[in-house]
Amino acid sequence: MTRFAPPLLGLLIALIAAPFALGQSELPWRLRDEPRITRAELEEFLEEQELEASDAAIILRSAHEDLLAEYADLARERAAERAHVQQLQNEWYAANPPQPGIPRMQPRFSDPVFDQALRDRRARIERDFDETVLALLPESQFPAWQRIVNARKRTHTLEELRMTVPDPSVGNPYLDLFQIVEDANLASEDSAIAAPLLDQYGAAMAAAIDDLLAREDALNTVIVQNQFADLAEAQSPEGKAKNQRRQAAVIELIALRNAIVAVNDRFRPQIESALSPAGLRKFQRAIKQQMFPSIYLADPVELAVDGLREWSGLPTNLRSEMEVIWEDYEAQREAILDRLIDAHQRWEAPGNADVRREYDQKISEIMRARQEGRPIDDIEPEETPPFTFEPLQQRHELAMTTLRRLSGLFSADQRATLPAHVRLCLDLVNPS
Amino acid sequence: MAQVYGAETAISWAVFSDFIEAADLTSTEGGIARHLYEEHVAALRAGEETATRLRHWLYSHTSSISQSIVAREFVSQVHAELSATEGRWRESSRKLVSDFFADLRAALPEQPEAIDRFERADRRQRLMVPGRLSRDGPYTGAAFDVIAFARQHLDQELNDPEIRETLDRYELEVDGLLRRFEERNTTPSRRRELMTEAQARVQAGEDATRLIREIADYMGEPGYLMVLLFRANEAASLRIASLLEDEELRERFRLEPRKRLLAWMYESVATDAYLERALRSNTLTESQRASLEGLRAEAERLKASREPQLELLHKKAMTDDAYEEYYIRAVRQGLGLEEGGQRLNDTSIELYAGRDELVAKMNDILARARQIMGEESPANSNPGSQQPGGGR
Repeated sequence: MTRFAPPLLGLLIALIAAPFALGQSELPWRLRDEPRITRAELEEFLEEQELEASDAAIILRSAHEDLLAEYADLARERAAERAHVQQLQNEWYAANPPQPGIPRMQPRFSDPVFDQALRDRRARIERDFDETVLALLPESQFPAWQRIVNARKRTHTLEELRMTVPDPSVGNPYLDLFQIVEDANLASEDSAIAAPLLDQYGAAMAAAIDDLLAREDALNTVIVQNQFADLAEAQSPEGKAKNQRRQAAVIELIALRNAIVAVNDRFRPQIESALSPAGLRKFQRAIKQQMFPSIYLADPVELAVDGLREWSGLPTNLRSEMEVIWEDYEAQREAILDRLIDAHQRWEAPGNADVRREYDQKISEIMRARQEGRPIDDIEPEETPPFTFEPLQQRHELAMTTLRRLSGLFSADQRATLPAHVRLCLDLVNPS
Repeated sequence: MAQVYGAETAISWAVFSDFIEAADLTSTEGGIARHLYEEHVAALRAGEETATRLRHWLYSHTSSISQSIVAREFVSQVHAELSATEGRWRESSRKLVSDFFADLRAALPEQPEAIDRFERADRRQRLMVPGRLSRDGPYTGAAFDVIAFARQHLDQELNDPEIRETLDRYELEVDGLLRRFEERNTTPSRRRELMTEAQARVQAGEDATRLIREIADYMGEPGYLMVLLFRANEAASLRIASLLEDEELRERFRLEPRKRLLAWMYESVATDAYLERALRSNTLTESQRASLEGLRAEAERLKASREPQLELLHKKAMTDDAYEEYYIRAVRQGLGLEEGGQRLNDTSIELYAGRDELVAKMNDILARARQIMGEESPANSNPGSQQPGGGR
């Protein structure tokens, strides 16, 4: 796999922008104001280790309550700070309206000292909790605890890194092979083969993540502190020195992230070569799903079939007919999705830059013509669509054709009795 | 999960629990009700999730090719599917709610009154929240459930017959308005149909006056309903205030409608937020603290002195007779029969000018607070900067 170079400040921008763009549950962990290990996970651990009725469990639960209270405090402070930053931003935009030809450079509104204090406090309360746990557990249970901590760190860090991937056609390189194995729903023999490799992978990934986490805050601080105040500063000697410091920090950050991708590159082929052909197919499908989530979206056929499978009112004969339709669909869909990935990659490939540029120019021309009220008919015939157009159209057509087949299994009266969410899918081809 | 605007959310567990408690059901009846409730929640959540996933899937067809002329027909087909799916989910989700109540009535025929109350409580809970009933503009006071507020702040007083009667009457009045609001929201495509008809008439050179008035009424009705809701909320809250003996509670009920009406003033603005944050700092000198507290008192006095005037303007802006004229003008502009121009009625203009004046003074306090803290202001005093989005 090619090394993935994140864009300058990608993660930082994603993290700063995230609170305003996403719901709480969609935020990366470090902005979610919840402990790394949730109460449910703690309970699960205590149960697995048969500690749920022990004295240690009472102290651990109480320590976790304290942790939750600390996070609630952090959440309140963060909300007040966010409101303050938002207001400062509004003021700045109102005082600096856009003017043609004059570039605007927005200052940083959030307080770096406050942000750092929040991060330090968070790290401290997590560390305190971890120390409490380790002080109470017998040494024999340390590895089990460490596995949970590593797993949560892995999920949270990879989640955050995924937000920095600028172009979906590149594919997400920050794979979580544990999640992929789970999604692949492997047969028990394949799962058994994968398990020891996953253990080694977990340890290697934890080390790479620890390296990143140990340096990330400091590097991000260097990047932020060396931003230019304005364009004049950018061109001054001090600006150039700042730029060098910033570049050095970015390069180090990229190297640390690439080390995470390298762990995946090392273990993925090892797992692949150990699996049976059927297991390999499932594993590779799950990899594609995680690499290209915007292409492997749940579609209306899949949603309708899942809904019908769960519906107890579906007669047996229709159930088997539905499965035949599904199998037929699934095979054709896979081929189209592969073509779609290929089309994305061909369209975004460096060698296609001229075609892309020409296309962009054509689009600008059309937009200008529209704004000026000129006819666009002359422009239209020469236009080249992105390569994704055809497979997208095929994906849509296949889904609609299959929905018609599924819908044809039921009379209009029967359709009215289907669960509302199944009807919602089938109604795409039954316009009222 | 992102919600389709106008679609229902599941009936809340708190409202359902209140019903179970108030209806005093047998354990069998309680079991049936719970089973129906769980089915309802599961069906609504499955529908919500499916609607969201369908939306993502459909959008994914257009995101990379939306500007392509070759794909124009395909893109508009997908957009039509998106819009139809959202419309269907709006209707379908509403039906899931009404089906639940119909099933509950059939299962518990001895409980018609309790179920009626439950349905009304559900409607208030779902609709009387900012963002659902009134998103901005002068209607913020409509989203105030006086019954919920009374339950939150009153205890023994709820047994007072006059207070109970006030709340009972309020419950029915508000429910009538909310029902009308819901009905009006289930047919969002009606306006498009009327507009298409009016466009055809205008193009054919025919008189479209009657249709223009109908469309204006259609556009203006939600606003008018919110005016009526605000009036009902205010009347009930003031009536309860007049029946209370405790001074603090009385003030609470007297002021709450105004607080909801002037929500923008009570929500955190930059000056308040800054002062609060600065006063929390551990490194303040005594003189800094005293100066900042002085500024905080000044900000409070300033807001209190402007409140009555802004309240009057708000009420006038809501009910201004010009609103009908405003919508007729908007429709005529949409049909190309009139040039675009002034978007607000005169009272609204006066209201926003009053808000701007207050905001400018608050900004001045903010600048002085920053000076005390030895900071430079990122933006110079700038009227409107603390003003939340508003206007019709």
